[in-house]
Amino acid sequence: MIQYYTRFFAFALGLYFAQILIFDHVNLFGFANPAVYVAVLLLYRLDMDQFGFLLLAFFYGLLLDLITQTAGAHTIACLTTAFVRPKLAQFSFGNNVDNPATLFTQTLTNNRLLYLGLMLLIHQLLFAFMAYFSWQHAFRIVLYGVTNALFSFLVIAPSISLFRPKK
Amino acid sequence: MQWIINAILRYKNFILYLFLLFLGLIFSGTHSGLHRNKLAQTSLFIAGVIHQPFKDLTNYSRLIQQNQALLQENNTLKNLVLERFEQSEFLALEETNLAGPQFWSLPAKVIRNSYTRSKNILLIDKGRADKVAPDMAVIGQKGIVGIVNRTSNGYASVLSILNLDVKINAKFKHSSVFGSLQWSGRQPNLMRLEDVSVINPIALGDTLVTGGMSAYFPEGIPIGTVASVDTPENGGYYDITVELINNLTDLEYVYVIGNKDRKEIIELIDENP
Repeated sequence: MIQYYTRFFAFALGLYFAQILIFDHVNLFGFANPAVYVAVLLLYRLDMDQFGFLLLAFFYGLLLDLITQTAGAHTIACLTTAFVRPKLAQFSFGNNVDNPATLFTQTLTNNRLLYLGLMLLIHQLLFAFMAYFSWQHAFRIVLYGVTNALFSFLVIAPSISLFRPKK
Repeated sequence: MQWIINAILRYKNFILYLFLLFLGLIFSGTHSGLHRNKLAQTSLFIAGVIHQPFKDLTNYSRLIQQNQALLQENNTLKNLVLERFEQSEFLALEETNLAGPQFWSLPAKVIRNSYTRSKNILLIDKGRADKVAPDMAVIGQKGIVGIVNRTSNGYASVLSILNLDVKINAKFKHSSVFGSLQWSGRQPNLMRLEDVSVINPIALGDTLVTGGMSAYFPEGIPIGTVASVDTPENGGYYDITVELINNLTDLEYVYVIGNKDRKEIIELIDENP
């Protein structure tokens, strides 16, 4: 367990720095940046304590907000995505969710892509909503949320396939 | 009593979520005391320390481009100095400060610049130790950039004018028509000018400068030019789009402008709200 946590925290730290130093500066179409750090929320084992995961998501978002000066947008997006994750996993994987150890390796690609897509879409829409926090910009919130989710999906999806062991 | 404990244990994740969400919402209300003090200063310091080496590295690869930009800026400044000498041959060189004696300027390096969000913020490598204080104006090589928001000892965060919360007092260079300039959250090179009555003649290409009716910016700093004008059918106010003169997506160096009389102005405003 300690080995898992050590590896996971190293992974989370690596993605944190990759996000703030590289992926936040991509600015595709002038605004789109892939949110690779959401992979931390995606890949945390589903059989782990949800209470601890909520705390982890909160502080991960908070650390991102402190560095990127986004005043709570990352925190609320990460926290809420972490909170709805069990339901999204249940919806995407069905009964396979009862076997979390093999969830990302021995499930259908379509299920994993659905899980990834839903997590990213919810996270990015929430992030855009918190960043603008105004119905006046509803169109922009949806446009930015969907575009960023799609861009993140294209970056993260091939990486998650890498976790699949070769047969 | 037992059932309360059971309910708490049963819904502990939901309760924790609501509690953390509440904390997050407090954090997002940027005007709370907690946010503006220790937490804000710590985050500014950490952001500065993390981004500085990365920015130094990327800056190195852009030295030629930066040299060109500085040469152009030098040239513009020299022309202005010569212009002033022509106006008065007795004018001493040290008096040719562009901002005038009421204002002083300090060059700073931009170590982080965001322009894709709704409330964009820049980080600069000058802070309290360099006498940078909140509410000071920040200008770029060609025009306005933003207003200092918070400072730590070595760094400062600047509210970019590409921020939905920022409004700038602006006027037309060749008339005394004033308006209020605000970003509409779209392209990083376009802003909206409001509160300009249709009784004033406005033409495409007219130049806008800072109005000087606030304690932030000195009067006459370039902002941009009129890109489009919509006149409402039933009178009222123009809907004016302004194209910024400064490219805010490509900032390496900026100048912090201090106002020596700012304290006096603020005191007067506070006394006569």
